[in-house]
Amino acid sequence: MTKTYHDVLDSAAGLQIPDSIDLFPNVSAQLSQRKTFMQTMRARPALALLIAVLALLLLTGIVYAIGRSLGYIPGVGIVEQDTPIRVLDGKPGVQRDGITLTMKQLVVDSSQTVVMYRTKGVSMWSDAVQECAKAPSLLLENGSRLESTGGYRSEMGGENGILGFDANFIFSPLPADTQKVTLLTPCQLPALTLHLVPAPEGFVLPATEIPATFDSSRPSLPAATSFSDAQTPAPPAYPTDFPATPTPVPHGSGLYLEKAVELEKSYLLVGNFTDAGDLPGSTWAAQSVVPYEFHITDRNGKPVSFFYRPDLMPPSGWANVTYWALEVLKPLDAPLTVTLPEMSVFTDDIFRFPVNVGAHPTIGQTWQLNQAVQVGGHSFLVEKITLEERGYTLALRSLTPISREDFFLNMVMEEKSASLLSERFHERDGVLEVNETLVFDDLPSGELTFVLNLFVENSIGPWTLTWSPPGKP
Amino acid sequence: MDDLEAIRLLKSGDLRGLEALMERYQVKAARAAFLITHDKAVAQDVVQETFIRIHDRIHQFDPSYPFEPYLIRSVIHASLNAIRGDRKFTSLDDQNELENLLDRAASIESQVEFTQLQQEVLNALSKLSPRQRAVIVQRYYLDMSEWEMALTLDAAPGTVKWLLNAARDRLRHLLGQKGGPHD
Repeated sequence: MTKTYHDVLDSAAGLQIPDSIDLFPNVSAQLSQRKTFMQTMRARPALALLIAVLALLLLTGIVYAIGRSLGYIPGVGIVEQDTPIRVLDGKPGVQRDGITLTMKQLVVDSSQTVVMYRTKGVSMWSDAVQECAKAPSLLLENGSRLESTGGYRSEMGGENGILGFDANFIFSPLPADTQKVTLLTPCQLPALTLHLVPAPEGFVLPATEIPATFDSSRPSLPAATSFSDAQTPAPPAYPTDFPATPTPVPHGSGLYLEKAVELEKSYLLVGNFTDAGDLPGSTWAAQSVVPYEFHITDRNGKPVSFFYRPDLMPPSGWANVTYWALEVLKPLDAPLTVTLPEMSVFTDDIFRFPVNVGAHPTIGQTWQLNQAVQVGGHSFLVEKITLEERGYTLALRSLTPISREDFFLNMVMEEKSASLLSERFHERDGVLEVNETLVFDDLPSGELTFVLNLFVENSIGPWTLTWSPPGKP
Repeated sequence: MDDLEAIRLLKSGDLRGLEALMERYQVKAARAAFLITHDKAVAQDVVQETFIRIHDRIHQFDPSYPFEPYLIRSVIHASLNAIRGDRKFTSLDDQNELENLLDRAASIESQVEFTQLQQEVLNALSKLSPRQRAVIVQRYYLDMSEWEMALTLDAAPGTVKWLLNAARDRLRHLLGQKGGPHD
């Protein structure tokens, strides 16, 4: 092979970006034209804000009673109906220095106040990026101040480093006679007065909590096998200070239904996938911010239409619980079977290979290892280490069929850090061949230890949950 | 002028430091940005904005750390951010197609054929999602390890592939590119 992937990509990109490119004059000109406030802005680490995840905070749990009259406000979630619901009058907003905050909604019931707004025009390089991410406060007419008890903020992204946020913050319920409240905004924006009015007719959909009794099934689980003692760590202990109680997991990992709510034309089902620590690896379930792809079928096995309802998903404060919320339209032919076709389970293990390459190894010299290792139910043969022009290459191949997409690895040398790690895969008839090269500027020699970290992904499923509304079979 | 000296100059407000850093790294940065954004103008904007940001926050930069990874990481983030609305997604086959093309291009010796394949590589790359492109660029152009990629993508080690495959499929579903439940 005469070229590396780097060479190919570099020359392909070179078709558009020539070696002669000179961007400094533009940068220099822009810097000299900068406005004063931009020059004095201290940049903030925006990295966290680039993670397009819901920044979940602690959220006060709401306890429901079966049969109690509730309400459902799409986009807000379940609300109590024992006192009149109050909402925001209009959609006021505020603006300063190109940053705009526009109220989307404010909902007050007897258990909570939900404040929803959108912030736009925030430069990812400015101080405001962190300020705007903070929770606002509510200032009441009597001078008291409410601080947020939870909620979340999601980044919308934007162009040219200009970001936006959708915020949904929770406060304790406002006093019943409150007619206006002041939002003390982040981003050093002016305070915003919010007027409350009774919720218009039809704003709240009547809802009743109904039993969430269910049966569940799960696939047979492959055993975790490894030749080494370094097993995948067990899931972290459940934090006792988390305000919500997780679903008990009497059946181990799998789908659990926590809540069922009946609306006039549909049912809301809220549940979770719990990784109870009995899987042959880690699911990192809570890292998912998008719904898993569920299927729902009726008693005849026919597909049932449903909606994802992220506004009903409780925050997950435990790394091993992923919540889901679905809305199923009436009428339905119960029982319903909710199926999660598969869940990715990751297993990794670390293997050390000490090799004495001598004081003066030569290019092309090979050291045979021929050691079998197992990770995640798959076997691999670590064949040899070869000294190439760029560095030491470790060759291994799978002994059991595995897709390249389900396997990856990392390698380091204990004695010396490599300047680069390059990797080549070949897949033939289900056999995966991997050459992992540690590239050194200054080639080490003598007693060397190659440390290999193998990672395998197994898709395990299906997981099912069966549920019927009251009075249905 | 080495990186340390350039950073020292830049910290003192001397733009010659920035000029030296740009002269050394702008081609690699712009090509990485182009391979991710697939837009020459956007790629150049990304690199310019990144260097402006570096100028703004150079006082926070610890010169005991290497400059290039810091720059490249910033460029990758800025590139992804610049094309956040890009909704072009593809199947895994297209990623394999790209890698097959890379294999072919790497092994041929004919300059004419190589030039043709360069364009095919760009076309195949354009079929990938921005994040997939970013991973390809990190892995094969920037020679980053899976662990470095995980760090750059703000993912736990081992989730890179998950981000590539599972999250991509789910995101595609959310964007309505695939049949399934309604919303």
